[in-house]
Amino acid sequence: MGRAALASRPAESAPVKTTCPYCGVGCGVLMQPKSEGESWQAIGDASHPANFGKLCVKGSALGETLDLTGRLLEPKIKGQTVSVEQACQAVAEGLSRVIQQYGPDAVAFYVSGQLLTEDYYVANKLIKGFIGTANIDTNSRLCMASAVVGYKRAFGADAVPCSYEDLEQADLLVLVGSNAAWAHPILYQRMAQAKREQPHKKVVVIDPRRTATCDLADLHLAIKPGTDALLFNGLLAYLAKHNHLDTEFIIEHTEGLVLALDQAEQTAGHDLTQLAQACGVDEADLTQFFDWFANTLRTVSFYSQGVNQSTSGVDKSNAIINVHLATGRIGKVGAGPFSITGQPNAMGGREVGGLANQLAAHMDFNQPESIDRVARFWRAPKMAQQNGLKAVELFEAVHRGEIKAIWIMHTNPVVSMPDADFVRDALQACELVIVSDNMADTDTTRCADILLPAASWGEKDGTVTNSDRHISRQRAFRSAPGLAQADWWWICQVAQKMGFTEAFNYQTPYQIFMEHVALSAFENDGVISRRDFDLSGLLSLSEQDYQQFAPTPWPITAKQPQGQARLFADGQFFTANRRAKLIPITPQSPKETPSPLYPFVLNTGRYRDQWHSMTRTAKTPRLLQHRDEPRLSLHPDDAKNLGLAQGDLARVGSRLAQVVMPVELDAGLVTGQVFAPIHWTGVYAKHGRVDSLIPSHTDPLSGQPESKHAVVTIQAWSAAYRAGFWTKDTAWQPDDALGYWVKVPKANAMFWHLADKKAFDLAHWQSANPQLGDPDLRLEDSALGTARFAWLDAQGGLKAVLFVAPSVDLQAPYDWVSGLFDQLSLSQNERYSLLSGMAIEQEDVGAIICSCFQVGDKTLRVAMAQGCDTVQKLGEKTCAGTNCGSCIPELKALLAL
Amino acid sequence: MSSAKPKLCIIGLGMASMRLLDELVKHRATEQYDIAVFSAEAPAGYNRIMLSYLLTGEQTLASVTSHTPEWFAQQGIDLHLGVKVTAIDTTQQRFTTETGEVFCYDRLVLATGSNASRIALPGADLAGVHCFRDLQDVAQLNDLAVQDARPVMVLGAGLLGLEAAYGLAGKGHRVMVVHRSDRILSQQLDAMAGRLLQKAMEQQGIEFVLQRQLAEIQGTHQIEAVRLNQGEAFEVKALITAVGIQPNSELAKQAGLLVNRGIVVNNALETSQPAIYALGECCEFEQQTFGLVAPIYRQATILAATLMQLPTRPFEHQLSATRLKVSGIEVFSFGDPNQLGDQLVLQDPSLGLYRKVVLVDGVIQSAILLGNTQDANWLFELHQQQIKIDNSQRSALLFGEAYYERAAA
Repeated sequence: MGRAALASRPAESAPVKTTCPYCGVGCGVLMQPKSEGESWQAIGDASHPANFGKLCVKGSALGETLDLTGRLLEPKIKGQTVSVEQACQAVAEGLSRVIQQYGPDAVAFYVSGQLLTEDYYVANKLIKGFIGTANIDTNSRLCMASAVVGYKRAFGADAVPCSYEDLEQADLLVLVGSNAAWAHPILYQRMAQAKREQPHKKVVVIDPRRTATCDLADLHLAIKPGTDALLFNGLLAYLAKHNHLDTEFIIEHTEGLVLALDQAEQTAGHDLTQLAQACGVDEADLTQFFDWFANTLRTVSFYSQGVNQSTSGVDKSNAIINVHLATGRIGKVGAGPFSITGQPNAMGGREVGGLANQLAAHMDFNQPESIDRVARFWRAPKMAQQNGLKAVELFEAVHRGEIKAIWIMHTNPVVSMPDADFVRDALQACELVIVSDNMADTDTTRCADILLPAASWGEKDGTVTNSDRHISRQRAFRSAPGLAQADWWWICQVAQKMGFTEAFNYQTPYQIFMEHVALSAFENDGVISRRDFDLSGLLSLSEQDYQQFAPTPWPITAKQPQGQARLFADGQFFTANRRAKLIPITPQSPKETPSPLYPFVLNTGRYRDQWHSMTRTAKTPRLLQHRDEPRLSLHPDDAKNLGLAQGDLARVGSRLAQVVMPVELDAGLVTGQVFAPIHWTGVYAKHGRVDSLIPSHTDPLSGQPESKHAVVTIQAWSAAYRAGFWTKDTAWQPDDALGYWVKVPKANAMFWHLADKKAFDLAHWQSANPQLGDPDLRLEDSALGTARFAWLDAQGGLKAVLFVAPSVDLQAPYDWVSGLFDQLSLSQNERYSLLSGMAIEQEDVGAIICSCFQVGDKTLRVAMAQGCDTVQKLGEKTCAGTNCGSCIPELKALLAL
Repeated sequence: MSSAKPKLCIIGLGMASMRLLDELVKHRATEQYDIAVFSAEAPAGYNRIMLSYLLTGEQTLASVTSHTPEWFAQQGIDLHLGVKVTAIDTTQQRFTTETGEVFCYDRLVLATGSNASRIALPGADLAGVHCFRDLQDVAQLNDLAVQDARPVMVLGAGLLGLEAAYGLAGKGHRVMVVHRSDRILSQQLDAMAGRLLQKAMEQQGIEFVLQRQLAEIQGTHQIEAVRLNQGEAFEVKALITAVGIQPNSELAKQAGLLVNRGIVVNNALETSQPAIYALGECCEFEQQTFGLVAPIYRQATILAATLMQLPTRPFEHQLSATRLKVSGIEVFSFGDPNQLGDQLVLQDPSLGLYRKVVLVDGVIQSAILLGNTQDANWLFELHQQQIKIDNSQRSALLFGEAYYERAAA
């Protein structure tokens, strides 16, 4: 025998550096290939300046979201699979026909903060320069459009002044309308770490809800919804009154203080008692906040969707920016008004001009020379001349039939738009709906005429910009499945078929990026124009440099090739006179006020472990453990008045629609206010589309909807039963009549929360699910109304399990059931556990010999081993055979062995 | 035979009699009595519950005989096998046998058991129409030719009928069970359990025709065919009637004892005549007769104590549990199988498992266990002690004591 040879292990492949596809923090991720099969492990990239190696739970689970289940792999026209060529042809012809027949304004693109900058760039170029309309808007409209306008009004440019480091360097952090702990976990961790290291730092959270973020707060101001601007006007007045303004900065670098202060004093300058009352907070708390703010130079105001998603979101951001300008707390270490975006590339979208009220590269339609400049740069035959329709208006135009063709890329407006049912109706009636997505079945793909399979995160290459202006590479680490292609590729194919062959003849994302760089630098020399968005430092970037490009904050110029972390250190802004503007703010109330008919205020937002409409996050069971169904958070007093207990189903209705969800008691809410998450879609829940409740009131300046403030009525939705159903059949659907369901992917099975107003009836269930047949395992308690059923396959493994109960706890402690699905067959103990909900190892007594005393052969053998050698002795020891005696022959036989 | 000890005579050697003897032996009764046992059957004391296994050949007479002639000899008890008692003279305290022999007694115990109910149809006396009660029946059924492909029909799907069917099927006969009710073992099982047990027996080749009664027996000397009340006709090679039992009380009746359906006894098992006692399937207490071993064994215990002048509890009716193994399937049942109340059901047909427990006001009233009857005694005790079951523990009842205790924790 020769020596055994060890099989040599394949060389570990190097991890691929990329950027997380979730929130606007933009963390660096290393995707490490795992030895077995096509799987990857996500690890934080220690070299990335956003996260320095940390990842949140969603980011850590990225490797678990890569399976191809549910992916759209082929182009489709009206449900029929077609070739790529046919699909591109159909899109091109469809768009061309509409343009010819109705003009360019009958076409719209609705795109996404999930697109890469390169995708965004060609989409914007096609519609604004070649189709000839600015009807392109993005789902970022729902997220930070107000912040964009706020910055532009104040600084003359959409320029985020801060860097993440400022969060750590600040001595006072004011979080306004942000649940960073859940929505931007890594930034929250950085803030928490800084506070741990320097406990003198103060954190103030301004939010109507006491959220998880309040764990970090020294002070929580639970203001009345919509009183942010009032509060910050009051702060401005207070600062002026107590001589805390930075007069020198104001004189040198700003304008508008007098009017802004005057307005602030008029609206909020009354005594603090009145102001506190108007904001719904304690006067001492209010004074404490004002005092801290007045006396802390290093102050960052960190604001997010709680400010933006409002009919006066722009004013709210300017009210915040005003106090920073008035105190000179901008462009300095640890200071500034810092808007945090929700999406991985909302910023990239802003940079290319992917919003209807932008032109390109931080230029706008309000300057004819800008339009001309871009037209020249693009050699655009048909340059759009004015702003297009913003998201809400855009879908209204679709609904009115003015927009005949819409191309939706990577977003799910039927779920995420306010008055979402209206959007669904609009799309269903629209002549040509093209949807590019990587998932086959979403609420929006259900409305599509043409479906284009898009490459997903991990399959496409390009750049993204995060909330502190860092441009990072997103890199492919595997090839796109089926016929999926990058969005830029689809757009270019269609553009070429529309006749724009030369302008869209890109072969790589690098080529697009370089054109984007060139446009940012085009006539941006400070003489002809001076624009904040400037990548001129990258003009000579080679393709290899692009491949290896490290995260860099723009502007990137020859002078500052490493970019610039903090803007405005020189006090020079991008307005015509280089001064920042303070804006007089008149605080506005939210559009809708509670009434006897709709007495509750509905706030909406994110859950910690879910992302948008769940197309990726629902792929991993891990991320559904935190919350696996959408819940209505309700103050315990309100719940009591409504006769609702934790876990009860409640119907939430606005004048537009209604949803049904279980109640989660939350004493962190103020009575009269309720909260629900935005994530659940028609694919995952029968009645979970919270945005269908939201009226489409928008900020007149930003067009951003007031998604965090709707008035609703709440009633108990009295279920006759609640049920949990696990099935191996991933295609299973509840029958249409069922009143309530939520679908929850699990590792080995699909899980469904089910409920109905009609009592559970097994016969009815079986007739609705004939493929299941008679249950193999059954446990029923008629008086309690509880029942458990299981269906087994031929090997005795689980096919399906159904638990029925009159009520169900919120955190159903049933996760172990899913675990049983990976077993080929169930033992008797496991079957008992399944039905009883308890895991108990029953003593195995062996085959029963004595029925009367339930003595098994194993027990008898033990007794025999201990010396019982006659029937009588066995009887004395174990009782076997001492009643009816029927087993005595068997006892004898056993003894004779 | 000049003993001064009083004579204790026991007529019958079935389950009741054997248990009484065991109890008496335990009390050293032979020191106080001269005991004599008279059995009309020739073999000694065998376990009647095992008849179907004798039929299949899974057991032999020897293996099911617990009280052999040697046992009697060892205990010093007179044994008269194959001796049928035909008359009792209560005034003279003596009785006569078929052969004219006369025996005196000081105490007499009647343990004459029961007879199979006869069917009241012409042809019921044809050859090939059998009961299934004793060794003689087994011997006759053993003679049936297996190669005769016509079925054996069993009338009645109660305990005895099913045992007979099992035994016959085990021998290789085609067996067809006809039953009046819509489910088998209808005294013990509910619809679901009946269906499951039926399915299991069908898998062993036994056929069932439910909700039918026998309408006609055809044949001249030997049974040839039967017709059911819905008109179906079957050629059969034999018919086993298992439609119930009747107390064997003829002897007592002739002797002038008070007899209704059975020999009437009081709660000390005394009949209407001094010094005469009765127990088992032949007796009747408070208008009820007996067919299960559990109450009969209690009677044996009480009667033995009474005979020995030992203190004892009076006999009273208790709900009895049925435990049996039908076709190798364990069955346990007590109470009304169709009891209304809060129903708890556990089912796992792939394991042959079915359990139902019915509670009224939180107390177990009835239970059916099929397949795995572990925990049966524990459930029965909970019933007997009228334990009030907490809601949180209810469904755990079905899984047995360990689960029940855990649910309380």
